[in-house]
Amino acid sequence: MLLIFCITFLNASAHLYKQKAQELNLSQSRYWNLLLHNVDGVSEIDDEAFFFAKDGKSNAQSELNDTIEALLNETVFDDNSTACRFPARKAWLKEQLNIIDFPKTECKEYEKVLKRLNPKSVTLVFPSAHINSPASMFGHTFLRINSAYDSKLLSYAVNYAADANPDKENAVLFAIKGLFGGYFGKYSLLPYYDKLKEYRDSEQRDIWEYNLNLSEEETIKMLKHIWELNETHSYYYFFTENCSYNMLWFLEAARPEIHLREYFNNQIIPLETVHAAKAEGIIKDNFYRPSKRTTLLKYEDLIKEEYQTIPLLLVDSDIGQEDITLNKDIDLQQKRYILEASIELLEYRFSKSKIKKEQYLKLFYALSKARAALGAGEKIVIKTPPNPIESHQAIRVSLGGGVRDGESIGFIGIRPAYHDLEDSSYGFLRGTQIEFLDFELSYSQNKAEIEKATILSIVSLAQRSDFFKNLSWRTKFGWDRNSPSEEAAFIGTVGIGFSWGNELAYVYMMTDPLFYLDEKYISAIGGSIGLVFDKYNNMSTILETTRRWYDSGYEQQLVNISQTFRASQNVQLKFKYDYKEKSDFKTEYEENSFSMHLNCYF
Amino acid sequence: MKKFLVSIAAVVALSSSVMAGVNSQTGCGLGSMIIKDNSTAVLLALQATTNGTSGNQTFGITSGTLGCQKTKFVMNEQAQEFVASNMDQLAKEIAVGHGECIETLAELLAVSDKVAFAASLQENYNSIYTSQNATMSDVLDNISATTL
Repeated sequence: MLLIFCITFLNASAHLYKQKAQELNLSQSRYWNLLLHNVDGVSEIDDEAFFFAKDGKSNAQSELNDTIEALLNETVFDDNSTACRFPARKAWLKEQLNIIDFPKTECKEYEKVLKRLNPKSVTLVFPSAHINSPASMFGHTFLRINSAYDSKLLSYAVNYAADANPDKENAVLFAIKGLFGGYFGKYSLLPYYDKLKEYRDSEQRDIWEYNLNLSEEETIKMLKHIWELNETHSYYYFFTENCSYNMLWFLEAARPEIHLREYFNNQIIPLETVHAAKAEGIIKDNFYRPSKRTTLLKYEDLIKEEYQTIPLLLVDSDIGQEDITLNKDIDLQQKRYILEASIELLEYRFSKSKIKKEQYLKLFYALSKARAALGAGEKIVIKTPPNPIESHQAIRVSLGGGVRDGESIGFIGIRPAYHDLEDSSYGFLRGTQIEFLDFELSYSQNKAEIEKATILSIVSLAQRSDFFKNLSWRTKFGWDRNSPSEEAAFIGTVGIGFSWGNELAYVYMMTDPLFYLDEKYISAIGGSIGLVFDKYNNMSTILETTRRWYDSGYEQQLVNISQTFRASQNVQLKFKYDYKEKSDFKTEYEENSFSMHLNCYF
Repeated sequence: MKKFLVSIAAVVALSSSVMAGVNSQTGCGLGSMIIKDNSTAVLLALQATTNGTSGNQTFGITSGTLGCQKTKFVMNEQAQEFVASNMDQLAKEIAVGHGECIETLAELLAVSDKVAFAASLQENYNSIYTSQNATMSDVLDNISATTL
């Protein structure tokens, strides 16, 4: 009798709350739609388990009703109860409708996680590009939930990844499925130190941490919502519904007043989410963590020229650590640096599978023991490089004008993504370029022509050093005007070479086999030497001279000089000189262009 | 068309990263770091972050000490977990005499004078790491015995 009474009572109260919710129009509120991940009334979550109503994915009202119903009529009272699975929905409804008669539930799992995370604040983390991989400029962003500990190593990262095992799938299939939603994305929580091992140590990426001004209360609110996505599936789309995009939902759920997703309509480039966070005013301060590579380069700097190769000899076991520790000519601090660099280098080698574990352990132990015996020394200090948050944004619109062979000429161009060597390198990894769909038209003598139409262009000029013997490479597919014929022709090229540099500038030498598809197929091999003077943050000078040998026997010289000035984060001024040798129907001629360009980035 | 072309480019970038084959060697001793197979250097060079995961990761808090020998001295679980997961980094920092892992450990063990703690760890390196096969429990027990 009592039971029947209770059920009737609860049903009645659920009914009243639903009525009240309807009066308050709660189903249309921003927060409710955030919790459901609704875009234009339809949820992006592709998992039935996320909804109580049959039409919950597309009907916010019925989902609200059924959620109230489920919360008040729990059938289980443990981790699987509605309240435990949807703590953010519960908290919000409780607050909005003053619900006091929730059934008692015990959320052991959630409480355990909450206790361990002890959420206090949130940091947006951006691992920047890694060397020789300009594609990684598209990078990754994730959220870190900071605990009450001072040490950030004890915080947790919210990870979002495609639920697929790359080792067990055909690589091409994997990529295609990743792009077009063939996999489910899945969330996980990982200790931050594990993420550091992955990005900082293994992938050699400098890491930028942007501390957000979310309060403890907002952080917990966010965690409650993240928890609701535990075990739910959504299709993973590389360009749109990717790792960075989903973080935006979480931040908005933490503080509904911020509108981050509105900054994006098409693809989401992870660094752009940082720009959006900055624009919304939620970034408090930032912190830079150098990668293992950056640390090793610093050691190269600190170790005297004459000892520079010693760490390599130690790691290769060509000499023993006592050859250094007992050497009376080397001063103590240099000894410390040498041994520290050796340990770093050894770890680097090991992480690249270039040394067997047995050998690694033996050397690691011997070297660290030797280093410990030398006592405390100077701490290495790595200067914080230009912050990516100050770097130019992805979309470039350019206007230009100049003179080509005595005739005036105008230029107009647009490029949706992302960065080329002539753009300001402020905040970008030195010597990297990645461009998608770079279009430029020229207008001269009442005639518009294609100046360039790049589909994809990647350049990676990785400076060689004692510790890192990197190769440089570049590739381009698209139309340009560097072919012997007058008009733009389709080029495909992949080249390799070397680059060296210091803090003033870097130089490079490249060999580029290439083909043009004009009216017919022609191939050539090009050799280029270039110099990029980039010491100052607000300007750079780029020179490149190229000689090409065509299969027809024709030889061509190309010269390109540009001087750029960074006026502000998203405005750049560029002066260019172009020299091209051309050959049309056996007449050979030269083309000289001087131009000035204004580049704006969005 | 635009989307298609971008996609092609990304297929190239993506498929290469797939071949990178990360294998995380977890353990309780030294030498358990992320190893990347470097065999496909050219493809690897194009690498983008795909964020593929091999499925095992969950939302729960998993203990990093599974399968590790427990410490003899009473020690908080999180300290054990931390040390087991950061063996190499910690050893390196102790050898050098400072670092974030040492500071973290100090915080977990409620050591107030971090500078003295780091110096003492360095001084006792040989008794903390008695061999290259030292495991988490050896390290923590030896730290308890020598520096705490």
